Amino acid sequence: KKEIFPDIYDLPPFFTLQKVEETKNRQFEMWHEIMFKYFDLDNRFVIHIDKDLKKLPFFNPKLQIGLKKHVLVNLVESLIDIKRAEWVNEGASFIIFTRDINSLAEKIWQWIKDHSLLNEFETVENTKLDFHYEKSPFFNLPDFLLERVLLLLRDQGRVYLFDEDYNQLHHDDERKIVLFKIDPKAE
Amino acid sequence: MFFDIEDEIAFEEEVDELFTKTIEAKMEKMKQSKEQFKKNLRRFADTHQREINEDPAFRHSFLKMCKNVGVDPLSSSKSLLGKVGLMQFYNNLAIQIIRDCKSLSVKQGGIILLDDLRRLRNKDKSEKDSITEEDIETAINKIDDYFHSGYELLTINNQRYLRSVPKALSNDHSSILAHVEGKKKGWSLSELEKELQWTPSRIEHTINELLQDGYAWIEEKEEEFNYWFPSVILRTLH
Repeated sequence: KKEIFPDIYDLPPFFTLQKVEETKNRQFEMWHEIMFKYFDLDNRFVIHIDKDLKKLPFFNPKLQIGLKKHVLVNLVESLIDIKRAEWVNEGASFIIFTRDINSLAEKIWQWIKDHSLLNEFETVENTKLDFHYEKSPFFNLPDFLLERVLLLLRDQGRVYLFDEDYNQLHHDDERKIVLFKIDPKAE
Repeated sequence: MFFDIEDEIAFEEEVDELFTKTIEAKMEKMKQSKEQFKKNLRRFADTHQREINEDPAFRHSFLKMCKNVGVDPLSSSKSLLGKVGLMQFYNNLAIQIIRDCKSLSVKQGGIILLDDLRRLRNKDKSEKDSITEEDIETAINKIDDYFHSGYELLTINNQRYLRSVPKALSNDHSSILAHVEGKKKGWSLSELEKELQWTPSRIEHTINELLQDGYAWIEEKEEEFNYWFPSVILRTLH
């Protein structure tokens, strides 16, 4: 965890919203990196604004200084701008995409191709239970993230999605993804 | 002693002619020596090319020798000494430095300790292949020759820094940075006024400029802001 925090994390101004635009951009860039690494290591994806404000990484116990709520909200908004976060629970919490969805989708697609899963049906449940997936990029993926990846792969024309009754799920269909099938014609 | 004007003129002309012939003879001799010297220098560079490129101490002695005789082996890769490969060496180093500055400046702001750059460059190198601060300075001077980029070497309290943002530091900027260098604390305007014995408007104006240029960060406090200067109080690498 020591490598997650740059030296400037131990200086008080890092927790004050910088007023000069360029400095603020630099500050936010560093905060983004801290949040991606910290929550990825912790395997956490849902962050609560009030509850987590007084904890690492938003609060530095050495300095006894932390981000103010409006600064954290600003940070989350900037993550949303780059599609790495979403508000949930009416703004009380947010989901953070510690890994970029596009590169995660590519990684999963490559793994599927390398393991000859083309033309096979697979259940979402099996990707969590089957030991074959233990060394795969599916491993330990939270449901919401896997769902996003599958939706992206569907939009790219690489997979078909189905519900528990084998009904195909199309765009804007909000039923739960239970099954997916790789399109054999996809590259 | 001259008996008449004509004798005087004739004498003057003889002296001028002798003087010109002597100078011309000396120039010719110097020209031949210079050509011979160039050949010797080239032979030396060819023989010791590996040491020049791999041994920092040898490289610096060679560069110093060239400088003393007014030869620049970095002026062109097509030059007599350009084929030693030093030009390529410093070009590559210059490109690496530009990249390092870009990545370090996200954390540090516009000025970077030269020692930090050196340690970054030497991270995976053996002592034999290491880069020195002199190498970095030579490469930086080359960057500026090519791009007029505004990269500039500064000394603040006996520490060498590289400024990698285009705007030059004024004397007032440098004075404040020198005053806060190495001290891990924030400064209020009133504190700086007292310590530097400047007028409030001078302090405020200079601090605002340092803020705008990214050298200073603010810390919100109850009564007044504190100003911090990460570039001169943080070491990038432990």
